Amino acid sequence: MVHYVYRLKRLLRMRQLFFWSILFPLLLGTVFKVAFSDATSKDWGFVTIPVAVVTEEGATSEEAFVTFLREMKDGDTPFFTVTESDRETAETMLNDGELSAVIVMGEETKVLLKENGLNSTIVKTVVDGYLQSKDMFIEAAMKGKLSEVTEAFSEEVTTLSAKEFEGATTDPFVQYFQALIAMASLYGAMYGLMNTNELNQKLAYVSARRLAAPMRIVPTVVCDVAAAFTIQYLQFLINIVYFVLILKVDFGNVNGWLFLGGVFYSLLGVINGYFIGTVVQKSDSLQNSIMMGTTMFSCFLAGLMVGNIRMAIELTVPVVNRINQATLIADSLQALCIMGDLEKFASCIFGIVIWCVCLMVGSMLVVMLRQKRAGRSVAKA
Amino acid sequence: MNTVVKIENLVKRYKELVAVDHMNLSIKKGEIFGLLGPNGSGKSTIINCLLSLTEYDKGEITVFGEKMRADNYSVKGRIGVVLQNVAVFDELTVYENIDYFCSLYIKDKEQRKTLVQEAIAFVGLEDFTKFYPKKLSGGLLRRLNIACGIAHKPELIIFDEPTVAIDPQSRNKILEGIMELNRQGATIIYTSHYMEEVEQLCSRIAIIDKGQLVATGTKDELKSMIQTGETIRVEVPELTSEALFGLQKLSHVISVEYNDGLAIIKCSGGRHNVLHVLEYLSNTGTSFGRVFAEQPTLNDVFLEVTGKELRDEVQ
Repeated sequence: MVHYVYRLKRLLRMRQLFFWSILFPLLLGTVFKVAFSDATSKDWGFVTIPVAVVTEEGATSEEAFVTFLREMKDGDTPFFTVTESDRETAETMLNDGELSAVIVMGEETKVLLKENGLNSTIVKTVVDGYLQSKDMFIEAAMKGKLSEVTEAFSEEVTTLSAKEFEGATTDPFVQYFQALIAMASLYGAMYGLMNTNELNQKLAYVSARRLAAPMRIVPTVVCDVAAAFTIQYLQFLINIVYFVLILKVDFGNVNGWLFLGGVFYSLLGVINGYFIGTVVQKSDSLQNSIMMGTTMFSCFLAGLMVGNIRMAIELTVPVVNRINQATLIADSLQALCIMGDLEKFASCIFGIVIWCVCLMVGSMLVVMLRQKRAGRSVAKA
Repeated sequence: MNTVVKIENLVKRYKELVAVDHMNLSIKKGEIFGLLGPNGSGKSTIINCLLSLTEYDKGEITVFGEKMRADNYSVKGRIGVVLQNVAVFDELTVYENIDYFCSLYIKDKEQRKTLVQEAIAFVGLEDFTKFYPKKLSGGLLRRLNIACGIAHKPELIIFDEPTVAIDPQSRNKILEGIMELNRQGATIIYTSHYMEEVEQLCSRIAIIDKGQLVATGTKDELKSMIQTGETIRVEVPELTSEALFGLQKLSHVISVEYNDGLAIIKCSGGRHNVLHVLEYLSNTGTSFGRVFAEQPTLNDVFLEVTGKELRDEVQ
């Protein structure tokens, strides 16, 4: 406990670390807010969804369905832009991101989606609703009353969608803040790195004094991690509070989950630093360069500098998004804030936990192996 | 006396460089044991091996009768370390630093509080307890460094060049403190390249050069090992070659050098060497001024056994 308390005191008094882990993200967030203030102040209401309808053998009443889709409106905004196409072309367009969904009409009606989200849910709701009341829509079309029926149905879909995504935000600029939170979280590596170096006699005089003492390595590392985590989580809370309350960034009404996510983001950052410090037993500057370089590259891939890079990676090498730490953080935030998808959020958090476990176990093994090797060498001698 | 530290046949290599070469040392309880040698002679490496801070290639180290290993916590708990470089945390105050390092040995809060206060008083930092290390002078920093190493009242304290680059006042304070710790019962290992300090402080001394043990013993034992017993310096404005030759012929005189009006006469053992020299100068009508007679120093010992000056090496 003494060790934890003094560690905490020291970390709080380190101005340089305080700047990079707490002030810098706040400053960058403010810059984002100023830069995107016009864009984020717009009403991000409903946006027309591009879909394709593919007619295959066995399809019935496809013309009525296409008309129905074109009649669906939210006020004056059409729900869908409908392209009629063959399946191959439609799937290519879906994969290229030109379409949100492909509706295949045959003996059975299928909906092909690229990914889950607000648009996908609307498409599925509309198609399911149409299929359940297909006869009613055909009859209305024959009587020339399709507009009245689709108007009522449009209102129903709008209400359902609003309920489905209660608490979720549709502000696209939130993704920059997601990447920013990822960056700030991964900067926790600085604390982890410092902790490791203070156990490395070659890099710090003070570590020689500590290692000469009857100090057990595992409890010491646990205390060090706990203190670094405390500061890092505090940093996460400060960032969120500042972004939400001061900058008015719309993170949605899912704060409970967000704060749980913060626990894992903070741990990941700290443990990253441990791993780098343990494996790279060289100078401080080299370690810091590696830490900053990997963090910034990871954040670049997560969309800190180029907003749509995550989507581009998803379409070309999706595995990168599954393993990139900053993307995992940003995706988990997106799952909460934009998609309201707790399943995806949990999946991203699981990925982060896997990273944490692998890095921590790796670091501990390296430290213990080195200690054992030293002990063996002395005993052998 | 019980043996506190025993180093047998210790070898430490850094690739091709042999930093410690088959070193054997035995340190008894209650001693102030000096490790004297120039920079790079292997003193700090021996200390690092002793503390299991570094691996070594061969040999055995026993401390308090137990083999020293990195995970021998019971032995480590009885050792205090004051390393060459000031090893404290810049973000903690003087009090907090001492308390933190003491906490690595002492878990009980109340006991620790007492020990920390005693350590602060011992090194004379009462007025600086709330200061951060960056606000302290070099001498005060060294004192803090010492307090961090001794607060838990260790039985064996290792001082690795604790007086490097500090003012004479702080140096004296530190040396007095070390003697006081020894009087209180601690066994001390003191490494230095300052022979005066070692001579003043240590009850036994090991002279080390290039990782090898050159000589060991009390200062008197070391001095008795060498040929030079006394060095006489006489201010002589003019010394003829006959007189110089005559001085060399005197009994117990090993060598005579004459430069810039100063004759340096080295004598082995014997008694009344000064009297014989002055008598000879008077008899030959050689006028002379001031006369100095010096007993051999550890530098003379080092010079004679290694063929080089300890002071030169330090520079």
